[in-house]
Amino acid sequence: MVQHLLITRPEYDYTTRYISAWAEKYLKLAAQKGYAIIDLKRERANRKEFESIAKKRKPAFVILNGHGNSDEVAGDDDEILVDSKTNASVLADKITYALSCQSAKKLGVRVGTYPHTVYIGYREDFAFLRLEKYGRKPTEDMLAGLFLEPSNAVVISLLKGHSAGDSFSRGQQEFMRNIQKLLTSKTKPDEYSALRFLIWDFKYLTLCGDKNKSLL
Amino acid sequence: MDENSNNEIKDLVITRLETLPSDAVISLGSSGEFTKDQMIESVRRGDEVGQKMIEIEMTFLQGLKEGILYGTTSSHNETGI
Repeated sequence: MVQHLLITRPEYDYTTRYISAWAEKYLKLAAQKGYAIIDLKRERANRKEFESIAKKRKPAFVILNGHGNSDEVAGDDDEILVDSKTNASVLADKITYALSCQSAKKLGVRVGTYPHTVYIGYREDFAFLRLEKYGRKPTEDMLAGLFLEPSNAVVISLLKGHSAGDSFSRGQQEFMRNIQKLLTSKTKPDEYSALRFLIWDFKYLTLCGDKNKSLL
Repeated sequence: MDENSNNEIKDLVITRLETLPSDAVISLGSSGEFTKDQMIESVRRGDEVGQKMIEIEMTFLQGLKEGILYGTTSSHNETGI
């Protein structure tokens, strides 16, 4: 049976445009792997459509890209798509990865209490650096890539059928790999300055719920 | 923390921020995006964003102290089953 992947991709500021553009990298793999991708991009990243599709299509995998806080993840124009108080159950029995600030602090913990459910996200703000000159071509910005590649590694590992726990570890490993790479003497000063933000993201990447769940 | 220590930490964070490339932008999620100069000014003023930047720097320094940079990954961020 074909599995559905539901992804939200608002694109209304540089941060959301960057994470949306970098998502293209794993969406290609998802298509190759045979997932039916439901891509809620730009204005389609609204609560009505998100809830409707999550209930009707029952996606096995939900990827939330957007701004957030400890209780909520937003879509287009900061419209709240899912929150810990009113509709967290829409993520029950699913694997969710949220590239969104702080949402693992409360929303993720709430979602993780449902059976056979896992939520991977960040307990604090997801911080990254970008260079202004790449504003129109985000995937060429290798400074931003230091942060977004490890984030993508979590998704790629899940798409390959690894467990949530192993995929979470994979993300941590990729953050650590970039951290250690920056410690070498050949590192450029601008890249070295990324270290403190990478350690921040590494520290706050969080898994809530069933670490044994996988997409297989 | 007394005012002298606070000012020393701010100076340290500002010195570190000055090593950022001039066209770098710091994305702090819902807090917004900040150029190097804007972030330095926030740290100097001690506003909410500046405090967050100080927290990030302190986490980095604590990580150095704990040897996190040479360590391995951990599962301490896992909750649940």
